[in-house]
Amino acid sequence: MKVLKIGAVWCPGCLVMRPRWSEIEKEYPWLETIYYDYDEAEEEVKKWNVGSTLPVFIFLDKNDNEIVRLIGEQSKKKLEEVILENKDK
Amino acid sequence: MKNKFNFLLLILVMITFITNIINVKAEEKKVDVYLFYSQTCPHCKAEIKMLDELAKENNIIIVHKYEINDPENNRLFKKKAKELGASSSYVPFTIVGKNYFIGYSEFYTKQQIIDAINKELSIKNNDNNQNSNKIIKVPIIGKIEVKGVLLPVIAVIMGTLDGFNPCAMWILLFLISVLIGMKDKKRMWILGLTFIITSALMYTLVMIGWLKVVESLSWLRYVVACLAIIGGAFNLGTLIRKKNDGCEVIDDRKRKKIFIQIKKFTGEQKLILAVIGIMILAILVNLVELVCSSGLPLGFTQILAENEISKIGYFIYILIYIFFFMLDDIIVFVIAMLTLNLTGFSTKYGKISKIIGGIILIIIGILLIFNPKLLSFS
Repeated sequence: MKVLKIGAVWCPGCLVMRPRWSEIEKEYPWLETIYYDYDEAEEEVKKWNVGSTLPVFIFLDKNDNEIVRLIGEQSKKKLEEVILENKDK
Repeated sequence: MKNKFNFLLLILVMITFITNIINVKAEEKKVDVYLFYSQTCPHCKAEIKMLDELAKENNIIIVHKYEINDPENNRLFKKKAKELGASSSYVPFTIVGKNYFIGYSEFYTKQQIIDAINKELSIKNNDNNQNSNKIIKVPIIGKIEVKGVLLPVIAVIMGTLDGFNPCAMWILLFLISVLIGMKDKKRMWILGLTFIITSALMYTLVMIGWLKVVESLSWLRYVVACLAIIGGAFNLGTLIRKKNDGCEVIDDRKRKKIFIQIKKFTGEQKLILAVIGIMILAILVNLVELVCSSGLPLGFTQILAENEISKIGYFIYILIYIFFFMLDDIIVFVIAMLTLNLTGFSTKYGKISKIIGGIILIIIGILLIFNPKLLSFS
């Protein structure tokens, strides 16, 4: 399972999510996460059709197909729920 | 936790201290008598003599004289007469509180004016007594007059709510991210503080300027009231429409243009040029972004205009507002400079500030239209 994290340095909500993801990444070392900066990774932003609200978290299966998309600030609990529900996909 | 409590306590003590200084003036009840006269009118001379003697005997009476041949005084005369629903064709024209007197005679008008002064004085003393009844006891600080504390508390609340408005925060965050990359601590502090201080100065000047305007044009109260209601409703409306807690992406062209400017100014070899560039950027950005958050500063300035405070008092209240407006920026900046890590406040705070701010603006708007006296706390 892979998670694409799309955020920006000017977005407070994205900054708030950083420590939450750090904790998750430590607790679930098998989870692959990739961070894309909204202003720098223009191609990825276009490809994944990121809307007008940040941050965006896109959960992908083994074949890189989108399973779940979470938009905006999320609690650690919510992220863990999605990860555990889809970890085998 | 203890440190946070001490900090809050210190702020509370400072505010109480400042409030006491501001309110000293308000406690001395005086009666203002406004006289519009002409140098050529004999009745005016008689009244001036009478009022001067009265003011000499009682230091609670302050006589303000306006010679109507002066164009500015004449404009004021017409304005005041219109406000009171009187004709502005004859002088002497005397105003005591809400009463006005056209013409003057030793036998009749003199006594009427003295009665009006006594009446006004008793009204003010009653107000004073009523105010002094509303005293609460606060631990450590002691007794606090409720009405006296309301204005600074409103300044703190509205300033803080305005501060959480995300309008200009994104620019500061981007600036900090660029500064962190510079690895020159001195330059980082100077440029970051330049942006914060210029933004604060900009806001202060706009608020002082607006206060001057609303003070001289009383009808603007209704314009502010309408804007406050519309602004408040808009704030609440955007929250209903918004589905997620997150940051709205600012228009691509506008965002990239600002980013290029920030990188250009911070990259200037000469520090002074970088400082000037950041100052210009802060002024321009805050001017544009002011429209985004103008509801709360506009509402607060109008509340100040509804209160009779000394000029220094107005200034101090605006400074309290600005300090709390900038507090989240200062916290984010200082943490970033000390840890070299960007932090931000949750967008949930922005949401809460929009809800409370929206409700406050609607209340202010309604009060300004139907009962502005309720906004007079001094």
